[in-house]
Amino acid sequence: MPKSVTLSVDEYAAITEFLYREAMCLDDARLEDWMGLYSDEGVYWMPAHPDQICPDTEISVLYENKLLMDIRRRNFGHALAPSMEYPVRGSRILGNTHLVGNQPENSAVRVSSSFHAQLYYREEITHFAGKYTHDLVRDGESFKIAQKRVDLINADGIQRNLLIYI
Amino acid sequence: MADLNKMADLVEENRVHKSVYLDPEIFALEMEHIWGKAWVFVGHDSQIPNTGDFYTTDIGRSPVVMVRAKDGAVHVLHNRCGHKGAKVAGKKCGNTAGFRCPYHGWSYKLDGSLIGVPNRKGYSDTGFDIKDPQFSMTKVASVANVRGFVFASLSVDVPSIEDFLGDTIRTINNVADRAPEGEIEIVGSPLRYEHDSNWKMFVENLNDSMHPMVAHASVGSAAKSYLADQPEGTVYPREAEIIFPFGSSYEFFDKMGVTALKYGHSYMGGQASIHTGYSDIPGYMEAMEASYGTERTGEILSQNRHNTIIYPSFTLKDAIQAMRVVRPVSVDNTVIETWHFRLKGAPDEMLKRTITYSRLINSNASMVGPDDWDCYRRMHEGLTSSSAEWVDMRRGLGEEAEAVDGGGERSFGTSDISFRNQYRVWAKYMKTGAKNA
Repeated sequence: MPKSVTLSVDEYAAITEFLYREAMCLDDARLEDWMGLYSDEGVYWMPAHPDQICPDTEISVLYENKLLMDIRRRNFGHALAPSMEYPVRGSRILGNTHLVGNQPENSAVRVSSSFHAQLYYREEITHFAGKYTHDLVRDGESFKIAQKRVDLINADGIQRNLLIYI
Repeated sequence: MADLNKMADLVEENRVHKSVYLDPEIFALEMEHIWGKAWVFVGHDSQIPNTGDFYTTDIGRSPVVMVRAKDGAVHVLHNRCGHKGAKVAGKKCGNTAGFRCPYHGWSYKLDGSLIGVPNRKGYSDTGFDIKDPQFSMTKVASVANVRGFVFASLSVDVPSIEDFLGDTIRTINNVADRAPEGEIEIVGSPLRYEHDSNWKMFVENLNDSMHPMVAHASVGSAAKSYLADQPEGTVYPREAEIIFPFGSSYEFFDKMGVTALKYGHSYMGGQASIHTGYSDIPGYMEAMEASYGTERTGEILSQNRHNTIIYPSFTLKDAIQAMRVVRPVSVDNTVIETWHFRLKGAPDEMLKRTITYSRLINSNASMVGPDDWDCYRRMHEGLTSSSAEWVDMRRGLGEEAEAVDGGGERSFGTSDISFRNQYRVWAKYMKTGAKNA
């Protein structure tokens, strides 16, 4: 049975502050700091269509555990990668943060938010929009991310290069 | 206007003129003379298992719909109303009892025949005949189904599908034979990835084995650096097994070999490829042997081709069950769709590996695909230079040998033979059409 969770104002503020911190790590492309916000089993998932249930039986744009996050942060900006010769800069705004009705059993809290992200790459700004769903587990006074699901509004549309997590 | 008679002058034995990548007029001619004449991959019939299931796509610049009719037949129709030409089916896929144009309500059976026109009395004594094919959703001129792979051509003047596919049929068969039940099915929707480059750059790249160790060096280096930081005795994860072969040596790719076939097709490997070293998936061999017996299973699994290019419209991997479909949009814009197959009767883990592979290699967010993207785009950025007119393709010229089996010519893996073969065929298509290509 999904459990019901209520949050105090302080807890809500702590959660949103944590989500902002994550967004800023990505804005600045600080991928090692960003990885540190995930639990050891943490995953980042960007499905390839809006109703996707399983990352193993259908293709996703991204489905990365800490192993792949670690390879990716080492690949980011790599001198031997042609795609990495250009800067990647981002600006993410998130809001409408709220607890999702059905809370998962294996994490402290499931939070949904809406985001708009602009990425600058190769003389072009690309706009991404959609919904984040964060499963957060408590870690002392703060949190770790057990799963972040990113549902782009155009998940099943034609995609362009994506050089960094949204 | 580009002159059709001049097209052959753009292709020489060891080089092609840069305008084949850059000139919008040549692109328009390609849509007419290559994409309008060749057998083009439309879809797989497992996408439309039930009566009324449909899937929309394009053959060159012509929108089409692949649909399953009541009698089980698969039709490929022009997705164009016989009245004022509006595109009839708007969704990528769906299920319907029949088609109805949303503009003036003309309605069609699943085989494209016109069955209803609103307020028809206005057509009396105009010569209008509901049975006249010009008012239907016309059937595409030529359609063939090869183990579920549906091909169509906008032209009636085509070689037989058997002649066209030639030895690439062994790749298609091998993909399906690798299923213990002998059948495959498409899973999920494809990844569609926009490339700001000419479609031929992608097609060439799939049998270009001088690029992986350069363009994809970073991800291998990042993975090695990760593994070096792990405690001794760490088991190699599957991701490493997928990533590392992209950094294989020139010698490895040379040994793999490349075979150029009729109609511009080609494949790398044969007995061995970058996928040969994959570890076994528990339960798969048992399921295969239960279906085929030990000897036949051995035969099926001994074929291991890298990318098979079925020119001009798609590439297939037998050992990975993934397919890349080429949809040219304009001279410097191409959408690449990646589709995935489930082997019927195989353990779920096989599909998981296909999906993992594709996410790591083909995704627009992978650490491989964007590097290819970037290299194609750099060709567009560099070729506009006024300093030179030609693109060189002479590597391995004169070192072709007759392929031992399956026809065609074979050479060492890093030869440019597959590019030269594609352009030889390109020039013939442009000049005389598919039959003589």
